[in-house]
Amino acid sequence: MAEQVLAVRGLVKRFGGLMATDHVDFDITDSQIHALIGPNGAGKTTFISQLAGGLLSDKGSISFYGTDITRLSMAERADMGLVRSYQITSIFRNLSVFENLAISVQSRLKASFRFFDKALVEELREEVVSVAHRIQLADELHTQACHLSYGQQRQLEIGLALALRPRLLLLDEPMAGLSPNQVPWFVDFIKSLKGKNLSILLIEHDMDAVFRLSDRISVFVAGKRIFNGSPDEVKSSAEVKRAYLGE
Amino acid sequence: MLVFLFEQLLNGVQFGLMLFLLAAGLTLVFGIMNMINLAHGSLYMIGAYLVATLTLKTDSFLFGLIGGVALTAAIGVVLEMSLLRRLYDKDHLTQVLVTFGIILIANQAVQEIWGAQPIMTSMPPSLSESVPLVGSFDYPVFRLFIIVVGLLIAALLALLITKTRVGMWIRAGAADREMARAMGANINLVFSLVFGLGAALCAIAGGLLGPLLSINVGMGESILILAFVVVVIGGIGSVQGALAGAVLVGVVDALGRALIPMALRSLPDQGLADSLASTLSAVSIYLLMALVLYWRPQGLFSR
Amino acid sequence: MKSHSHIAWALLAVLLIAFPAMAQAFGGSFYVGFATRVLILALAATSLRLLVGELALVSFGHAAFFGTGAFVVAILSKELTAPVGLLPGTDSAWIAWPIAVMVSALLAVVIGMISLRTKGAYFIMITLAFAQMTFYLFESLKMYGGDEGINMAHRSRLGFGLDTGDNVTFYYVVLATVVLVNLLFRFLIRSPLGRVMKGIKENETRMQALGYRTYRYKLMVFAIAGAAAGLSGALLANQNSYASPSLFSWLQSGNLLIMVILGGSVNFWGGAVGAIVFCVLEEVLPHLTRFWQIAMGVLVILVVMRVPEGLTGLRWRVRVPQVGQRRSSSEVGNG
Repeated sequence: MAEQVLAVRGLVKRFGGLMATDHVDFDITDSQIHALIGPNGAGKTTFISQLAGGLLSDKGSISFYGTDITRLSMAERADMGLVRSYQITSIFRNLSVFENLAISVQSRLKASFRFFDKALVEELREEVVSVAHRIQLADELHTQACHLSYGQQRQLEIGLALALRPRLLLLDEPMAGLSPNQVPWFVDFIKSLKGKNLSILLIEHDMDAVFRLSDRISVFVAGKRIFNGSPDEVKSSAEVKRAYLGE
Repeated sequence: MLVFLFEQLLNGVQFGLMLFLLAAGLTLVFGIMNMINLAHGSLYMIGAYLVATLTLKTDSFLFGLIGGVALTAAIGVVLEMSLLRRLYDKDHLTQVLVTFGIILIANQAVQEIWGAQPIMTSMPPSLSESVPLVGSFDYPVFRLFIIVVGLLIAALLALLITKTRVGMWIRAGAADREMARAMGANINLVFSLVFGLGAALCAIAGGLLGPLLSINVGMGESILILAFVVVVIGGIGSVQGALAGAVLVGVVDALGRALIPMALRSLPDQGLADSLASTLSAVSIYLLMALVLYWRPQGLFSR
Repeated sequence: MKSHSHIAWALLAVLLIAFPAMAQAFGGSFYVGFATRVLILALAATSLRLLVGELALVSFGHAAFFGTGAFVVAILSKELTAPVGLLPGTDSAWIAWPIAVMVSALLAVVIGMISLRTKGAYFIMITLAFAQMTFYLFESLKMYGGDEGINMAHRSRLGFGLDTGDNVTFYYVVLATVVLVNLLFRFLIRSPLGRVMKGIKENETRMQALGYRTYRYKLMVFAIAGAAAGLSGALLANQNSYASPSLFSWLQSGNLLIMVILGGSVNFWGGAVGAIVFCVLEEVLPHLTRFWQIAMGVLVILVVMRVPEGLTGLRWRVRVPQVGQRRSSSEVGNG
């Protein structure tokens, strides 16, 4: 039985005269990788920001596992398991990889005030190392984040979100700026994440990756979702071709 | 009683308009050059001293005012070109501390030149009468003069910023410094002009308020903080905000000082009432600021 | 390297403990008083450094908490010796000092609740304005001295046979207090909470995206810093047996910020180092020149523009020429 992870109804975001998100309805059910594609300026990142809580919506509702989160802050949503990563790398540049991941893990463990808990320190350390292995940065634990290569920083970018053990992961162009030979690792990695209790909403421009990864694809144009279907349906849709290529 | 309140209201507007002159310069410098300038109060102080001195020397308030303002503007431009220009790209803490250092220097320099005793000047004879405004209520001409000058400058500033070439450069520089430079605006000139303008406004305020308040070392600091309050309430970068905020602050302060003691007179314990009254009047502006910030943290007119 | 720093700490401890005895030898009860004042200001500067260095919160109103701590102690002492009748007075340090700390913390919470909703320049201006507000608040309390301040009949009593009136005893009391609070700060910075602070300073938005309610953490640290400043104010009131509204002035706030940047905001000891240098300058400069405020202003400008990382941020390099090899440089500690 598919569980309703995310239910969006009539979502609106206006910037002055511009309707960035235009009455969007959207659903995600469990264990899905749902891709969001569309031309630049279509409102994809705005939509993600509204879902994650960085932008407050003007109208509409967002429901996460049955709970209304429309007015909740970013931090509250992250606590509930709705976590995003950023298109423009947003890590803790002057801290080591270990410290970066420790911040995430500490948040999940709610350990910020557990001052004298030695067992906790050990648990945190083990968890950080485990996540570092998953994102292939175990050898760089003590490297300062700003000294990582761009590709490694993108790995850390996802790692920060992953360490929170999210239930819904919003990936905003995770492969942005990567060279072609770096992409396969990321595609395989994201595919490996899919499992029980983790759904992924993915903004991506790399069509190959999108078709390989997604269970469903939504096409956004000018703030509206104009199409929603399986990869095959999207590939064969004349509507989508028209919108994308602007006939 | 109503007459008394009306008089306090006018005083508040008058002081508010002078605050506006300081706040406008502050908010422009902040909005366009992204710089916090604590030395703004020092320019006000220097302006007051120069105007007073020149007035005494030339026996003409007009010459004193014009000369003092021109000199202060020149000092401002020199300061900007030599030192402050380097602060635009630095962080706020650096800007705060450097301009704080300038205050220390300016305070002692002024004290060395003019001595530690405050200067008392009198209003220019031609403006020292009072005129009847409403019924039997007389109001000093000089204060009216200040109000008129303040309003005039507000109008001129609005005109400058919205309707002139220079104003366009200013707005362009505010929006995007690099683009404006690429488009041919001599950005450094614009910055110097804006700073000089701010200094001139300070000097006008200092020169006009000189006869009303005492001119002393340290006068800049207390009014500067009020100017900050105005800028915060009005919204950084907004000249209309500075005007609205300044008049609001001036009026709230004046009315507060007038009404609060009256309101508390009904309390049984006179000693406590007096103390409470003086406390509340003194902090009324800050309570206003706290209120505005709670409701709109970015100020009333922020961009 | 570890043994180097242990030796350095041991030496410092010996110096601090033996200081009064050494000072007596140089005929200076003055020096003991001076050293006590330096310790007190070092505590205040350290509390500000916590905000500036760990959270990038440039508070231009820190003097508000400093002054509040001083005034609480002075007011309580006055109520005991020359009662105004509003509060029960006390001259016991065990009661007055914690109250001073709590009132300062409370004030910090109130000011922080509004200021911390703002950022950057707004934050600086607002903290300045609130400090000015507390200045006017305390100055307007005519029954507590108004702008003349409050004289305390004597310093807070500690009991246990310790006479705080004796300058040397008081020096040790202050030393112990300052050391304890510093240890507490160090503990906090190295704790999971310290990690949160680093994260907020680096990238506050990402912290929020990772589930941290950053506003609450900032408010908490702001209150802790305010409380520590209040404690140092209480100690200062005791040192001088006097509390003046000038403690709230923005000159005071500015001086504290100067100390932080002189010493360096990143290193834990930046505040303390800056306080020492500042106090020494304050004492020595007037003897060197009449224009000492101008000199101080020039110095501040030079340091801020040329050495923004402060004394503790400088990397002290020593060239070590080696026989038969090219010259090499090795670092000798950098705090």
